[in-house]
Amino acid sequence: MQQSQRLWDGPDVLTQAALAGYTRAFGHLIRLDEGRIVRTTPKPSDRVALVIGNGLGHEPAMVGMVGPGLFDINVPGRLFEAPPASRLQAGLAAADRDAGVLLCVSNHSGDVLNADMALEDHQPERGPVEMAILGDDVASAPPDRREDRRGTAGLLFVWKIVGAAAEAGYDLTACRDLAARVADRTRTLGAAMGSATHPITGEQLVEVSNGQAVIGTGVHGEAAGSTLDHPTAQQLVRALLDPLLDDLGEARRSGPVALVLNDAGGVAPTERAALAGVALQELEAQGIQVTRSWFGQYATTFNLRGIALSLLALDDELQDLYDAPCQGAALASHGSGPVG
Amino acid sequence: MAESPATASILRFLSAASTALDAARDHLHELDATLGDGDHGDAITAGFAAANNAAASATDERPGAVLHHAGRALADQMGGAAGPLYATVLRALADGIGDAEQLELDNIAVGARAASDTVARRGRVSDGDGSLLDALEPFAACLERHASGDSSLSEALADAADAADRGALATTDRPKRRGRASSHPSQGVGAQDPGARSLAIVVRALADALVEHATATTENSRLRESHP
Repeated sequence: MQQSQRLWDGPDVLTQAALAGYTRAFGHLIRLDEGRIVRTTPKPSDRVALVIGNGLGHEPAMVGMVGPGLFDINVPGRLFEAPPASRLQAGLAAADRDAGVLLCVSNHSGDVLNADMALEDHQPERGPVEMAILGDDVASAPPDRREDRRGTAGLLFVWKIVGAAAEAGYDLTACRDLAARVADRTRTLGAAMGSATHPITGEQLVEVSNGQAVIGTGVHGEAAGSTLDHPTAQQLVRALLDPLLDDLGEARRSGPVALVLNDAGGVAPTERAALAGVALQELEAQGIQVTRSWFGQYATTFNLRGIALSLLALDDELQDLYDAPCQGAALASHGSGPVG
Repeated sequence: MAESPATASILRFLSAASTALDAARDHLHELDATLGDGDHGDAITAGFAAANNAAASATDERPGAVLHHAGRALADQMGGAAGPLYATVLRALADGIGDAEQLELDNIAVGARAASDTVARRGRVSDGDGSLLDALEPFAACLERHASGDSSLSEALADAADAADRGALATTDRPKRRGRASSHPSQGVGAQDPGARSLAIVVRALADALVEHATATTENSRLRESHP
């Protein structure tokens, strides 16, 4: 085991410092309010508010996705631990408004349990609250149990699109249905080509043998699937894309798709861009029309040397909302353009 | 506070659970490092420490109210999947005791049954899925069996704590169907579920605290008998 570093006196010190870093550096967008990340300039109260809780350790998700065109409130928990129901409830109360609040939940047992309990005895004073439990990871459950799939990097599509819809004045029911519809058309599959180092304990979170790639890793680096031995970039990308396309089905992949390549924290920027290039080439070779493509670090697991590819089957409405501007600490878009 | 013997037992239970979990922290850490992200030991220790601290300052000193107060403090401190489930267990036991001034086997058995059922529903787990329910359900079932007979509270709890212990050990050979371990390639076969282990530790602390309660109560009545 690697000797642990002594930069941080425990996980809470690390995560609180990280939140301070985000809110101080991006004070024009976000600020800390009783432990919650809120917008510096609140959204008009006649628009639906979007709230999400999450365990820390996946930055920039979700602290970096609070701001215009994105979330209104993020309730962070402790390291890799969904926030307690009481704190979610306080977040819902802070967001309470006539137009209502959509509580977005990435499907992991802790997040769902605390969200369920928060809603059980939450009494909003002004508007209703709806909940959307969302998953996208094809490695976590087969197609006939899609509702069991856990939430991973592809939920970026949901955050971006529903964020734009809420900003544009979609009502609460429409926002909730849209979230479900986007998740229903999203597929993600991840791979780890190396491990991640826990910054406190120094432990390696994933065991990946030298030269191998493990397909199906989740947001905590947990491995689920097959292993590739010394794959080429093209073999690695195909091992992710082929199951995604199969899972999307014929009807969905006949139309345009959006691609996101998420870097789990430990891929060099040059290699990240190169892998996105390979993925786009592969999709083109298979006759898939990719009209929007982003690559970057959206949801990480420390310095995990891993990527996830996500596909969204677009339609005109989804593409318009995806193209709408947004501004968060980690996600700023002045409108996406077509893929060249 | 000048609490009743029943409330003293609840306080002793929470304190013993907190101490026992702290002592088992490294073991729980190892189990969770195999199946999860290795922080179950820290989280559950912090959760029960908060519950224990809160119980000592509860304003309503009846045993059920103290336990309910402790459950709320645990829920405020501890998130993740374990926080709400352990809070559910403490609150269900508290509801079973209700307003009673004494701890009776029937009430504890009713509370344990509700705890197991609610954890199964909230956590969307079944007995045998390799979760804390694998220790909680045998605990509840054993108490129910004793409640329909003529066992004493302390006998029943000692037996039920053994059942929880066996249930936790049995998770070693089971594939885990919920939580992070379920997506592990081995599905956790070969490793004991840390949640089931910590539940077994908690109910052992309850049994031990109530054995002392029974002994103290018996001695009190003996004293009264010999000094009328």
